[in-house]
Amino acid sequence: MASTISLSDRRQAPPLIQCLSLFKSYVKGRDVLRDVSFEVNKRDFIFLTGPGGAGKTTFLKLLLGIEPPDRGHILFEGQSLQRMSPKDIPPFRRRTGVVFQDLKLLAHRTVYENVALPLDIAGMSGALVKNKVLNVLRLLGLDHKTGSKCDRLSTTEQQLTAIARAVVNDPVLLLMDEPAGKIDEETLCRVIELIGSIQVRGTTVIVASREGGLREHIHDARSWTIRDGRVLEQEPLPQPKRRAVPKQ
Amino acid sequence: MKGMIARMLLERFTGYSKRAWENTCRDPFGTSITLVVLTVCLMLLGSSYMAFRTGRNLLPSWAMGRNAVVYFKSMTPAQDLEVLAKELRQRQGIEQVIVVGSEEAKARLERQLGEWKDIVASIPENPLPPSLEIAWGARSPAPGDVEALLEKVRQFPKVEEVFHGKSWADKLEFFLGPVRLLWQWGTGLMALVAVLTVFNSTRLVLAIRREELEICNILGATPFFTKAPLYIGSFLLGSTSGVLATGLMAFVVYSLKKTLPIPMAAALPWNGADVVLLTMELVCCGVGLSALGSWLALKRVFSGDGLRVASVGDYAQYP
Repeated sequence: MASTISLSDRRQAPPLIQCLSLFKSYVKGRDVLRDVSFEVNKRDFIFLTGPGGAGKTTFLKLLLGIEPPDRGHILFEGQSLQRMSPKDIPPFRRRTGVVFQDLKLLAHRTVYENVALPLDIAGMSGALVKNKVLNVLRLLGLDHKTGSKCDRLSTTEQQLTAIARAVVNDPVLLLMDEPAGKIDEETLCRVIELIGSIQVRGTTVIVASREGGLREHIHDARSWTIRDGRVLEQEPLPQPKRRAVPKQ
Repeated sequence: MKGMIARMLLERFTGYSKRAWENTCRDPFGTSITLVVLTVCLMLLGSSYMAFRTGRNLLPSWAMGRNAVVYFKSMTPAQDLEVLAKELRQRQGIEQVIVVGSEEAKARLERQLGEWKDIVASIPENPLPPSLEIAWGARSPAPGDVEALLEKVRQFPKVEEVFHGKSWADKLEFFLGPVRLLWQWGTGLMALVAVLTVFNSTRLVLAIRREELEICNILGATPFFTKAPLYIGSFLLGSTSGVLATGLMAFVVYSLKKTLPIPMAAALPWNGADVVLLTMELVCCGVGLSALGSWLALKRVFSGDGLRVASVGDYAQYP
């Protein structure tokens, strides 16, 4: 049913993420994020741009609950991340897919094992895991590399493996840090199609990238820029180059 | 439905076991050291068990030794034994005097030797002398009176030897006391060393797999997902060392049985029930010690609260 919700309906639904006056600094007196407040709705597609070191990765880490903010609150479906009990954190993270800038793949394991890891963690049965993993690998054109060790893959293939691992369990929230940095134009189209298709199924996507190039491919995307520790929302682009969201 | 749940649980257990095996293989040196230390510790524990069982086998003869045995010269007629027995029965403090003839002594020895009884049967002439067994009552006489009475018995014609086991038992106990204490301390110390070795080995596994654990945590792994393979690993290690220790002890016991004098060898326990009991005891102890070491190591890692529990920083303290 989520796929039939129109944009106006989405705006009326309670936000998936609410950030209230976030402050974060690693060095005293130098705020990476300063008084950041925003709302992210279900099925939003957000592009977060900014120069290197602006705080994009920190922003994603805060949303994932890896880093705590110095001040302020992050609410996920109305529940404060900082006040989450230890036993609530793993279920929250299982609902989140993430692609790190450094990919964080298990180098000595195969592509299949890496992609199956979130499903194993979620305790899915072997047959279902196999089905889901092979399906997502086929969509990304990686099905011929199933048994290859990750340290033997090209950078593009590694990037695709990280993306496959992030989307394989149909997350509610997908966080991607520089997902297009190491992949060519043709592969990028496949990635965009995949992201678009899971967005349609109800996933909220936040992509952090230095360049705004990827944004041009996505229809109905919100664009944010981090500058001087503040997150500023930009006007939507008038004409998308390609509609990634498939017609229904 | 039940079948599905069972299959799912089996799949999970297989997954955890696979990761436990990977952990074990990832650090073969550490695993070997842990296995050796655990096995030595369990062998010490096992030898305590063996000593206890041997003591229990010897106990009937020791208990008898706490009383007194009067050995007569061979071929002493039974009437002479009865004369002394009658006289002793009239003494205060003596509860019972049993006359044991040569044939009865031989039958007893055969029973005591068990599987080696044929050795006695093969001797053409019975070498065992007749004897009197004196049992003191609940209100036994003072040690001085006992010694005086036994001295008188020694003067009796045809008495070859008077064996008063209490003095021997006391001497033995005086010697065994410190040995037992040393044994207990040694076993305790070895157990501590075993726990510390498993503790360090588990920490090493955590350090080696730090990156993987960090990624698993980010992907939403519960502490159980991380801990289960390590506990299964410790179970494997503990049970393997238990079986190894039993095997080594079996080798030692069989070697001893070949070299020790027959009465002592016969007292060494090693029948089917003993093997099963010892294996169970050692496997349980091995698993217990190993699990304790792992639990202590994991307790340190998962001692945070809130967001820190499953964050990257939890593993940062390990080199």
